[in-house]
Amino acid sequence: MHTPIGTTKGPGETPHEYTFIAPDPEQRVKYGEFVYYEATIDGHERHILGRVTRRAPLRLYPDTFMADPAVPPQTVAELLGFDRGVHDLFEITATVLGYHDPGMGFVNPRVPPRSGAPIYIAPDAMLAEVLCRSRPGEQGGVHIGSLLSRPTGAVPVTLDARGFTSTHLAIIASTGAGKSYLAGVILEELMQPHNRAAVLVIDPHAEYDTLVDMQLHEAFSCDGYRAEVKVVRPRDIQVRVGSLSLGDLRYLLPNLTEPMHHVLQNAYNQVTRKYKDKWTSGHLKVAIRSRGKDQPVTDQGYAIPDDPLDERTDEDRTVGALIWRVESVLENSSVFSDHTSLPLEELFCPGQCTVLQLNEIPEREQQIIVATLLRRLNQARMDTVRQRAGEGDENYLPYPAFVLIEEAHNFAPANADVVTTQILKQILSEGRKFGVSVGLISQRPGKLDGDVLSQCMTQCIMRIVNPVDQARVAESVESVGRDLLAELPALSKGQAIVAGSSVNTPVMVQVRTRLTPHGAENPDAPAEWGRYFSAERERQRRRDNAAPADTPIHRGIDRMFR
Amino acid sequence: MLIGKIVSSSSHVEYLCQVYGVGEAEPAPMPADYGFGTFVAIEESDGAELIGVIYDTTLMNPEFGSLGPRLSPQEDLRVFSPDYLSERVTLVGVVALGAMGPDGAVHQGVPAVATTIDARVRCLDPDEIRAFHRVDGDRPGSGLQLAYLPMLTGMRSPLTPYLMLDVIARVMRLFPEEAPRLALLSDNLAWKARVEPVG
Repeated sequence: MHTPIGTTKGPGETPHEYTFIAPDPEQRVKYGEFVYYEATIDGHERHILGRVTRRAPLRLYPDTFMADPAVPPQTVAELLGFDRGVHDLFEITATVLGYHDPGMGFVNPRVPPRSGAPIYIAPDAMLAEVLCRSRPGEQGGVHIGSLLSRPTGAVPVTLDARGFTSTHLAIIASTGAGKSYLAGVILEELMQPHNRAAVLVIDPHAEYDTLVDMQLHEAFSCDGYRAEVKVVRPRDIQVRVGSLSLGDLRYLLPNLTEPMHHVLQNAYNQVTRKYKDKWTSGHLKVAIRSRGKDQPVTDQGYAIPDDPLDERTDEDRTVGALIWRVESVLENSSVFSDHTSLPLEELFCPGQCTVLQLNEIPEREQQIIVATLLRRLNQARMDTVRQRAGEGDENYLPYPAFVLIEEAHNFAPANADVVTTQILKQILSEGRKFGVSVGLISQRPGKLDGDVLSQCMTQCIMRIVNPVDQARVAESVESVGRDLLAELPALSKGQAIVAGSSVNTPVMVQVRTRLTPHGAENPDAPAEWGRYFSAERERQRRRDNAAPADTPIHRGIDRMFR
Repeated sequence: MLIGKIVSSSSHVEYLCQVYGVGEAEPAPMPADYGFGTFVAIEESDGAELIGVIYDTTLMNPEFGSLGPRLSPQEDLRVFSPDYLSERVTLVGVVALGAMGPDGAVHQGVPAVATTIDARVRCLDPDEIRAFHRVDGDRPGSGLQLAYLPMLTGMRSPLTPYLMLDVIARVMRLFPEEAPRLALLSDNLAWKARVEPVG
């Protein structure tokens, strides 16, 4: 039998709230803490779980007792004969979650506790049982940390990978709040032997290469399985131009005029009609010269006529300018290739985490890379699920895949249309059917497309101070109550609110320690400056800057060229 | 032990008791016998008793204010004018908290019947105080009761909060097993009586 922590006072402001009074001398009833009362529902004794949302003191020392900071107010009260020691009394508001039914989740009994009913702190074992639907180490279990209101490790919080790998994930936090660290924890869990996921990380800042340490860590190997981490460097990334859509081309080629759009569209239609998705930049240029018409290409088509008033002059200028743009973007970039692209089966494989490093690549090209990759992935899964692709086909991908996208606001920005937005929206809305899921990581939810954010049904929200970002989270994330959102500015580094389809109820989490090193540590500039003046570095500088020693004067033929 | 008799009242529950002087009762009551918060019984003619508690004390002295010289020295007054000396009395205020019937039946709260002038007032011994506060039976709430406390809060005397604190402290000594419940009441009263008014 547990000892009550408080006594029910009565209903709260809303139908699913109630208030209770507690002296709480040990300060156990924290914000976000879970409490329960007992009730008989349909003949069964149930524990009705609730979460503490407000805590108001009822008995405060008079302000005048605090006039001298050196004199504690309780000593003034003792002067007056009040020597009762702890005098605190709090009115605490709790939101009813309900009793947990293994089949239905939390069921709200719709009846608040009776006034005077005892309130208990929910024990660790009960919370570990009901808050999450997965357990650490189980298949699908993604153990990200422990309940914030309890001692570290007392109540493990485990996401259900089945939830976010079907209805998507969002990790949102200010800079430095630990979102990359949390993403690393999730990736570690996905790659452990009990999950063996097929994961791709879009890594614009090259922060995730430390994940390769998983390959040597014993936690990631078991019974012949060993997690594989493949880091694709920027120089190794190639996009076959044939996989580009007309929208991609329009997005890539800068400052197209209306006539250029027209010619490009005709040319694109021509090459895709002729070569399907195997066209090259050469094919495209030929098609542009022929203005998209199936006619022989002559030099005349590309020449500038003598008569500037000839109506073909403008066309030729258009063609010339368009071809110049195609050459400068497609042929002068190391990213685009006529024949080679990253094979899907090398990027996605169960038990493999692929880190696609996009640093050193211009932002527009990053977006094209991600857009073409997501499009190919989605198409491959659609073809495989609908049995339009079989083993050996380029589009054959016989397992679900999870794509984690860092700096997601660059790939689905609010109030702007980039090439990735459309495919992201498509995957977010129908990827569930084909086993394609994404995890979006962003430090600026205010700059992230609201539709995209609201389609991520599992949310990990860390400290957010910016009011615009808070407002965007509030409007896009419906599963987190206002009471929890109010906690956002007060969260510390490594603390998160986790809500949505991967947990039974929103919880505040202290993220666990990573097994592999974190790759996004801030540089320690003062330490670097200090090292500049170390004795060894001083010696090295003197050595490097020393004047060359006198050498014997060269004689002979070499002397002439000195 | 007898301590006095009822001489006046200001309401159905507030009575004035004149403390017996020298020779009026044997043994004569000492100030400790009629101190603040003392439980007393006011004897009724039918064997029943009103149970009350002393909540105030007044000293009556007709000589106060007559500062001029007297013809008779103080020592001679005892011989020549003993009735004059007997006008000096101690009055204690008693608030009735309930009643006990001849059969020991306890009623806490406003008594149905008021007492009469000259009704004798005596101190309650600890067993009688326990009996007055224990409501037996199987019904909910049986056991220790202080059902008269809400009535006390309506009294106009500034001493009321302290009277209640004193009453609870006395009852707590007699019912140590009830200390948690009584301490909760006492703490709340102490906060309101001692801390809040000063702030």
